[in-house]
Amino acid sequence: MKKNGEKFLRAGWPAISLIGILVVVAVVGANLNPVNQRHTIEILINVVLVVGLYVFAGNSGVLSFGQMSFMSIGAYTTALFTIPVIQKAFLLPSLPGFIGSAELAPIPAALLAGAMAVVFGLIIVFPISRLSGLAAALAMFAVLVIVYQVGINWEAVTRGTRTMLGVPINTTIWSALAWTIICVLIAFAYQRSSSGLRLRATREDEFAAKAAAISIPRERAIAFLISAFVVGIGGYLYAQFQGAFTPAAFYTHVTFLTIAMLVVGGQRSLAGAVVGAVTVSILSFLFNSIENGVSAGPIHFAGRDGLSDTALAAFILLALLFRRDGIMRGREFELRRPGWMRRSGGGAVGGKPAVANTDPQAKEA
Amino acid sequence: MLELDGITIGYGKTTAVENLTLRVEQGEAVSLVGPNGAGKTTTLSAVAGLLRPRSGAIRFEGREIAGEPPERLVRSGLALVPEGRQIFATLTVGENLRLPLAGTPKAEAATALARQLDRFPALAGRLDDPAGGLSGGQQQQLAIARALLCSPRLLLLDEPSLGLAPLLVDAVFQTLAELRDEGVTVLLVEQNAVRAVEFADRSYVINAGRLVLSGSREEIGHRETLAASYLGSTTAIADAAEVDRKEGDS
Amino acid sequence: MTALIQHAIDAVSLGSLYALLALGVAMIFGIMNLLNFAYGELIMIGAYSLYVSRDLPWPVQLAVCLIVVIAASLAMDRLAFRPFRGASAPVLLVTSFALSFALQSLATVIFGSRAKGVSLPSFFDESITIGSVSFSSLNLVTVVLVIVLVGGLATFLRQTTVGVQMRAAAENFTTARLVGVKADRVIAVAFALSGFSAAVAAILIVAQRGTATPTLGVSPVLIAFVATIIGGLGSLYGAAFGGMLLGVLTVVLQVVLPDSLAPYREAFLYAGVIVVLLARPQGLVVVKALFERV
Repeated sequence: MKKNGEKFLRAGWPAISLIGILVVVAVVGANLNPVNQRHTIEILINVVLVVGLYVFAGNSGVLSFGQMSFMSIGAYTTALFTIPVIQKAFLLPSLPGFIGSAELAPIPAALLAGAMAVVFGLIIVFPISRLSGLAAALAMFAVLVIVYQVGINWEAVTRGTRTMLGVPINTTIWSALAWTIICVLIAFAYQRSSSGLRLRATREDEFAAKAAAISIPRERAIAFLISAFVVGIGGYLYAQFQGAFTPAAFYTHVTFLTIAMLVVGGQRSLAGAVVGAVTVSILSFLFNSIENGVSAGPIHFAGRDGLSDTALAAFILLALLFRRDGIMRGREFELRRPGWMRRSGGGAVGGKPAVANTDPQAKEA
Repeated sequence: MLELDGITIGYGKTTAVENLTLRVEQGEAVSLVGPNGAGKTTTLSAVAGLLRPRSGAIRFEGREIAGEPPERLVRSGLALVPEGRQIFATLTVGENLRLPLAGTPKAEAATALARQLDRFPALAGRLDDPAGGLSGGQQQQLAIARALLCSPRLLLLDEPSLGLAPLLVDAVFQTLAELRDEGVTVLLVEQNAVRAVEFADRSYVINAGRLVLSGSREEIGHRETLAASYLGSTTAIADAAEVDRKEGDS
Repeated sequence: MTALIQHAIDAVSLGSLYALLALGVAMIFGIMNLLNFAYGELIMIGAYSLYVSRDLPWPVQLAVCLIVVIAASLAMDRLAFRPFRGASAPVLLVTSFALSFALQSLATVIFGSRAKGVSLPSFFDESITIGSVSFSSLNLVTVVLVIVLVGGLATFLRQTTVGVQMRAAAENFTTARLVGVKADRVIAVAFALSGFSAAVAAILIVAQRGTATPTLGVSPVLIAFVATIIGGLGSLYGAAFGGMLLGVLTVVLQVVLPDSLAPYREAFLYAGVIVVLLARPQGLVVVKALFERV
C-alpha cells in the first residue's frame, strides 16, 4: 500500500510540484495589496495560456505564432454568453436570438469557451497538423491575423474595434488557481498518455518516428485541439478578469509574451512552461512598476512609456543567449530516487528519458 | 603534417569517434576506411573545422586547429571535398570554380584555373552551364577541381567514389594517383576499402568510432586482414566470450 | 477601361513595394535561415530617421535614412544575431521576434507611442495625368525604383565576387565556407542589402502615410513574410514574384470584393497564404530544414 502511494507520488511529482508552486503563488498573492492581487490573477492566467501553448508547441516541437487566436475565441465566446441579457441587447443589438438570450454561469461558460476554441481548432487543424517547422509557425500566424481581422470587422458579434464590455467579473485568485491546476493536470496527463509520448517521439526524431509508423499529423492534431481547449479556457479567464477588451488584446503582444515565457522557461517541459510564465510575469510587473516611476530618497525617476517592454525584451534576449534551452532545460521536477536505487544511466531527469523508455509500437500493440 | 591526437567527437549524448589517433606525413596518401557509421565522415568534418571535438588535439603543420572555422582552415592549406560532392547546382561551373579564387590576383587565378581545366577537360567546355546539369562523374571532377583551386597542401576527400559507376570510380582513383604523384598530401575517407587501401601508402581502419587496425599497404593489404578488421566487432565479442568462458571454467 | 488602367497602376505599384519588402526578408533567409521579424523595425527606424532629419534638405534627409538603416541592420547582425550563429530556425525566429519587440518598445520610449508627422519632398505626391488616367508620382517612383533596384541586385549577384559568394552561401552555407567563403562577411553584406531595401521601403511608406509610429513596421514585415513564403523561401526571384503577386491580389480583392466583405480582404489574403502553404506543404519553406540533419 505504502509502496503504491510512493509510486504514485513519484509518477505524479512533476505535476504535484507545479501545483505546489501555483498554490504558493496564489496564497502569497492573496495576502498582498489589491494591485498585486490582480497581478497574481494575471500570473495564473498567463500560466494557463503558456501551458496551453506548450501542449502543442512543446510536445510537438513545432512553434506556433497563432495559438492566441484560441484565446480570442474563448474570450469572445465568454463575452457573448455571459454578458447580462439586458446589457447585451444594448451592446450587441444584432446578435442572433439564442445567443442574445443566453446568460451562462462561470463554469459552463468556461467549458463553452474551451469547446468553441476546439471547434475552431477543428476547422484549421487539418491543414496545420500537416505542416512542419517554419511553415506551420507562419500558417498559424496567418490564422492569428485572420482571427484578428475578423474580430475588428465583424461588428455585429465583436463590436469591432470598439471595446467589448460588460463581461461579468468572476475570475478570482481562487477560481483562476482552480482552472490553472486543471489545465496543468490536463497538460500533464496528455504528455504522459501514449499519444503524448508518441508526439514527443516525433519531436526528438521525426524520421525515426515516421519509421516507427507514428502518424505525425494525427498526434499533432490531438495536441493541437487540447492546446486549443486550454488556451480557450485562458481566454475565458481573461474575459472574466478584465471585463472589457478589444481584439488587439489577442494579437501580437500577447503572442510574443506567451512565446517568450515558454522559451525562457524551456519549451520542452511542462515545468518550463509554468516556471517561464511565472518568472516572466513577475518580472514584467516589476519592470512595469519601474516604468510608472520610482522614488529612491531624493532621487525620483519619472519613468516613460515602453520602458518596461524594452527591459522585458532585453531580458528575454539575454535569456535566449545564455540559456538557449530555457530555465528548466527541458526537465521536469522529479522526485529523485536515493542514489543506491539509481541504476547507472537510468537516473537522468527530464522528459526525454520518458520518451526514450517508451517504445511507441509496444504501446500500440 | 596532420596529427589527430586522441580525439573524441560526439553529437549530443552519442559518441561518434572515440580516442582516435592518426597521422598524415608530408607527401603521403593516407586512407581512413571502415563500415558505414564508423565515424569516418565525422573525423574528416572535425579536421575541416565543421565540428569541434570534445577532447583531444588536431594539429596541422604543428599548429592546433581544433575549433577553427572552416574558411580559415582553407586559407591555411587544408581543403575538403565533401561527401556527396556538394557542388553549387544553381551556380555555373565557372562560378563554382572561381569561388575559391576570390582575392587571388587575376593572372594567378587564370593560371590556376587553366591548370585544373587541363586536368579535367570535360569541365572546360561547360564553364557557363549550371553545375546542376553535369553528370555525376563530372560533378565529382568539379568538386575535386574546386578543392584543388583552394591550393591545398593537404587534400581531404570524403567518399569520392560514392554513387559513381565502376568506370567513373576508376577515373576518380586515377585522378587521386596523379595528385599523389604530384606531391599533394591526401587523406581519403572511403567505404570502398579495398580500392582505398590499395591506393594509399598507409591506412587506418575504424569501426564504431574506434581504431581497429592501421598499417602500410603491405601490412594490411591482404584482403583477409582487412575483412577481419571489418568484422572486428563481432569476432572480438566472440573472442571475448570465449575468454570469459575459459576464465569462468578455471 | 480607364478604371482598369487605374487599378492596374495601383496593383503594379503596390506589388513593387511588396516585392521590395520581400527581397529584404528573403535575402537574409536564403543565407542564414532566419526569418527576421525585426526587418519591420528597420523600416520603422528609417521612418524615424526621416522624422528626425525633417528640417534638413531632402537629399540629406534621404541619405540619413539610408545610412542610419543600413548601420542599424549591420548592428543588428553583429549584436543580436551573431551570438546565435548555428541556432535552429525557431530559435532564430524567436530571437528576431524579441528583437522586434524590443525595438518597438524602445521607439515608444524615445518618441512616444503617438504618430509623428513626417514631410517628404513634394515631388512624391504630385499627380500625373495622362489622358483620362491620373496617378500619383509616388506610384511611378515606386515602380521605377524597384525595377532599378531589382536589376541592380541581379547584376550584383551575377557579376561581383561577393554576389557569387552570396548565391553559393544561399545554396549551401557549409560548403561555401569549405571553399573559403567568409561566413560573417557574406552575412554582413546580406544584412547591408536587407537594410538598404528597408530604407527605400521606409521612404516609400512614409511618403505615402506621412507619419512614423513605433509599430509602423509590423504590417510590412508580415506582408514580406507572406510574399517570401508564396515565392518559396530562399529564392530571391521567387520572393520578388511573391510580392508582386500579393500586391496585385490585394488590389484585385479591393476591387472585386463586395462592400460588405471588403474589410475582410486581409483575412482573405492570409487564408490564401494558408492555402499556398498547404498546396506546397514541403514547399521551398521546409526543404532546407529537412536537409539540415547530420
